[in-house]
Amino acid sequence: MPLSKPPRDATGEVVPHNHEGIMQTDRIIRRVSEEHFVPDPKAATGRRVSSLAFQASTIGNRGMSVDIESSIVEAGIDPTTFVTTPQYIGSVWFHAGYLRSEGFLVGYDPLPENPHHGEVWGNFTKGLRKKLLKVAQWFVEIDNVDLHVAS
Amino acid sequence: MNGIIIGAVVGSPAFQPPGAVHPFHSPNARTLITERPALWRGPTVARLDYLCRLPVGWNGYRAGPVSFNVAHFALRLLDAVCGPETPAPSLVPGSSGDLQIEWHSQTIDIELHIIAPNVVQAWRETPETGEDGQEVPLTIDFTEVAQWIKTLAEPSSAPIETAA
Repeated sequence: MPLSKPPRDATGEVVPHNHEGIMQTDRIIRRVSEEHFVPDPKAATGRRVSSLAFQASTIGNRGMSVDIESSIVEAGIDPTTFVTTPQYIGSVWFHAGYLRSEGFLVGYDPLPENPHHGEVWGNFTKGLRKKLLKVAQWFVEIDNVDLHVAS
Repeated sequence: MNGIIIGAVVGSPAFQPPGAVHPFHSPNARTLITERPALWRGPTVARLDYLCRLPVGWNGYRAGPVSFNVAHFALRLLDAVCGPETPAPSLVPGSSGDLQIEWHSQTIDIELHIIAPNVVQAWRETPETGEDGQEVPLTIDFTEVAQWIKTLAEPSSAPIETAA
């Protein structure tokens, strides 16, 4: 069943919300650009993902952009193909329930160029961003880049 | 040697045969004193130029390029806190024109998140801080960060050289 329309403010902007159609076990995908890869001798491959890969925007409705796997599947599209188009880019996933357990809101924010776009809203402290790095799992893995680095 | 170069250049438009000797006190001589640029600066400037030209959507969503003001401030910050032998940092674009400067070594991690000019969240992790690290919001005084960066030069904490 497609996700219902999200709540919007007077200007039409989606307001932060927990969408009831996004289940706790749904996978929330976050694309990770190669611009986020940094050298780190502690990483087995010598490269790691920067903590800045998990960051909310400071403009607009101030969430972290994500893709909602269940919405993509509902539309009959292969999620891996979807998140690597138009540019091939890595991505990671979290369960919606995990994000909510850390105090985030996980909502739906369809865009003209991405009808399966969602947002994660909350206080992206350094500590939480580091935690997200530890918990994240590759959805589209990029060779020679570590997600998890021993401190 | 600290990289200071002293040279003399003869500015006369007249033909100067090869091997001509020009006295140092010649009225046309100029004495240039230049410092060898810090090793980190060239790659950093090139990377900042690149980040300011990122296309909208570089992150797969709607992120734009790093703002020129943020990039300019980042370079001024690095000029203030880095020494000539400081390893080149990694520069990571944010999703709102912001930028993060990072160094990672076996024992020290330093991250300077430049949210806007004079709005910086500085963070480091060392064996003493533990994995939660030490976070310091900064505006104009980066003395503490300069001290952190000095420790990068210590042999046990030398970070891997970055391609910026």
